[in-house]
Amino acid sequence: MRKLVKVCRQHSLLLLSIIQMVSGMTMYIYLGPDVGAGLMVLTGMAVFLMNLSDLVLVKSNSAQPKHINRAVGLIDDKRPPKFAEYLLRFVPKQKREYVLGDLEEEYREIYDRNGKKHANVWYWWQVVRSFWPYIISTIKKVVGWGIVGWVGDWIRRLVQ
Amino acid sequence: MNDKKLYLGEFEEIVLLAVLRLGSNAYGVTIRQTVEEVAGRPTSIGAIYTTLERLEQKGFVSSWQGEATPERGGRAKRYFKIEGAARQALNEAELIRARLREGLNGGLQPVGSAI
Repeated sequence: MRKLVKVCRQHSLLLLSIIQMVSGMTMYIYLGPDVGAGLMVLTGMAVFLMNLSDLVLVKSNSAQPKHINRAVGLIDDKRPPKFAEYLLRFVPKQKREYVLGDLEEEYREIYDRNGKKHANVWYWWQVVRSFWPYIISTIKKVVGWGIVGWVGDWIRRLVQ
Repeated sequence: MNDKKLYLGEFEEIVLLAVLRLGSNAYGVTIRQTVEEVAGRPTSIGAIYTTLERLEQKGFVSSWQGEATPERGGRAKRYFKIEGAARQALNEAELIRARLREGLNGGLQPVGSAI
């Protein structure tokens, strides 16, 4: 049950961030850069808060057994930030496995050399720098579906 | 193959040379580290994969799935290997540069010097 709540919470956070980003882009397209920029700021804040809540979640669960590395069956706490890993779901399936593996391998190297904080910052930087284009293209696809575009157009008419 | 595809971008050339240098140990992590350490060019893993995919489409590299290791969370590696066309393209790029440099008569300033 607790695991289910945790999974639901992770999914709701992702859903919220997607809604934020899609609405930000839609407003940007249909209402102009000022409104869009404002919403993009909100999106940034949402991502920040999600990251923060992710950290709190990890802390509150610290009494529970740590992550078990299935490959070797060892208890292992050198894991990349969960939400950052989650964002990598935007990467096309055919290369996600390799990308996640490469990032985790380097994350562990940095973790051993410079500590957790440094490794977390490095991981997040890689995610933001590398995979923002995939996130944008996914949003564009969603906007391209027309539903959100139609809502944006409807809001624009109301405002005018 | 279309002749146009034989031309290499600057970053593509760097990545190809890194793959060539690494030999049988060329996969995402080692390629990124080589580009960063040897070429002195900070880069992300995403940029490396995007470039490698483009190179694979051009027929310059081929890839295969490697072993899964515990430090990768049980995930597999993807190894890359240089193909013959890539060697040809690298040589051609070198030749073009040499030809363009000919006749400059020392017009190039050494790196770091004032212009």
